[in-house]
Amino acid sequence: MSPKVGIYMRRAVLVSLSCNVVLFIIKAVALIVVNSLAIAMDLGITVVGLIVSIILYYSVKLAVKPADLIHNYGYGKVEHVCEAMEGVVLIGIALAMSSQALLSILHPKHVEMPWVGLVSCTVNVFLNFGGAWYISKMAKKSASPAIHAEGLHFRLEGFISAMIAGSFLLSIFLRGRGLSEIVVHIDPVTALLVSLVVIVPSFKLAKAAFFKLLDSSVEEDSQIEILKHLGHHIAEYCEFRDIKSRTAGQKKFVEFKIVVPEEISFKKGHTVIATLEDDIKQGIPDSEIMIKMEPCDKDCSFVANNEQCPYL
Amino acid sequence: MRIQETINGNIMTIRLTGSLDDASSHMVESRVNEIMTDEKVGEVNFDFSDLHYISSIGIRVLILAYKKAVKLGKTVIVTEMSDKVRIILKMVGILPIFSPGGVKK
Repeated sequence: MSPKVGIYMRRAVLVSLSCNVVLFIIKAVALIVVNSLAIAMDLGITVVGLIVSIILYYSVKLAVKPADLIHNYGYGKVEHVCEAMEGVVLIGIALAMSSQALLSILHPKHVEMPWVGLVSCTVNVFLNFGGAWYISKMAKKSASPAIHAEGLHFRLEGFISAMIAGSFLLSIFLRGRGLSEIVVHIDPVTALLVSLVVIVPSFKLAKAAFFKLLDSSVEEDSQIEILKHLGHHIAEYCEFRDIKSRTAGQKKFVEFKIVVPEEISFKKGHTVIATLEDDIKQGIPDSEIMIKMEPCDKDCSFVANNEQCPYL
Repeated sequence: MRIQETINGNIMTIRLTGSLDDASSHMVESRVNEIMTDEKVGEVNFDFSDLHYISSIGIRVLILAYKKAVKLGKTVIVTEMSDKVRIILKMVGILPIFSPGGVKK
């Protein structure tokens, strides 16, 4: 991993941490003043974000460490642990808040000073989208899944803050028209909607992270890249077998076997493998490719018909 | 995924309808293997005109079918294909090997 990747990741984490601290203060103050369930939900998400940012700060340091005698494949998987944690905790908060929102719909309460909520949520929208833009930019540069998840988290929070700001705007408007009996339901309904908005991407995030922790194969683009090179060098091997791949952070591991004629020289076989490995490495950044060579079973039509093997 | 087969002499035409992806590739691979080992079949023509999508697993099935055909001294070509499939096969760079008179090994 290049040292620049580590720098991009650390920059993203520092921005995430700073934004989360500011967001936490704004939301905590707004919650005390406004007494809104939707803001409480938003604050819960920020608390998770803040905790994850702190964990991410240490994880990033660990993830960029090279492989050693104990962890032979490096520490990349710690990023997926972060992703999974973020997803699971967000689902928990969303479920807790949605049950609270349902109770509040049955027993509604007035929110105080909705304009304070409106101002704080508007500030949060800019902070979240600004943070999301920068973190996603760093995620792209570093190809880090944990930083990418953090960028998504910020974008999601931005939409949530915008949604809550909209609900406060609606409350102010309806209150001005004397429709207070409707206004009392806006806050819990917004909290419920926010919970639903949070659950779907959080579930996807946690699922993807768990799959990666369980060594799911590399994503479709990389799979196609492998096949592209196998197709490109199709005239140099008899067949290929057992393609296996997995992801650990930004690192990808690919291994498979190629079958070559048993008469082929070791040098030629090695050249075929080395070329394939180099080509796939070029196509899949941060990858480790391992190709094994196996001799053919001589059960082909060339042997049966006493013809010259085309792969020699 | 629907597989339709028609045989004309020693040429077997396999027409695939739907998507050749994770869900369907195993079924297609098994069937193609059976057809390949059938001594009466000397050439397999794939008709992908109603194939809407082909994933990496589907591409893997195709390359393996090609390799098996070469090994058994048979021919595999793609006679028809939808625009989407053409773009994918072209992007992967394997379109020439499935064209009539393509790479022979």
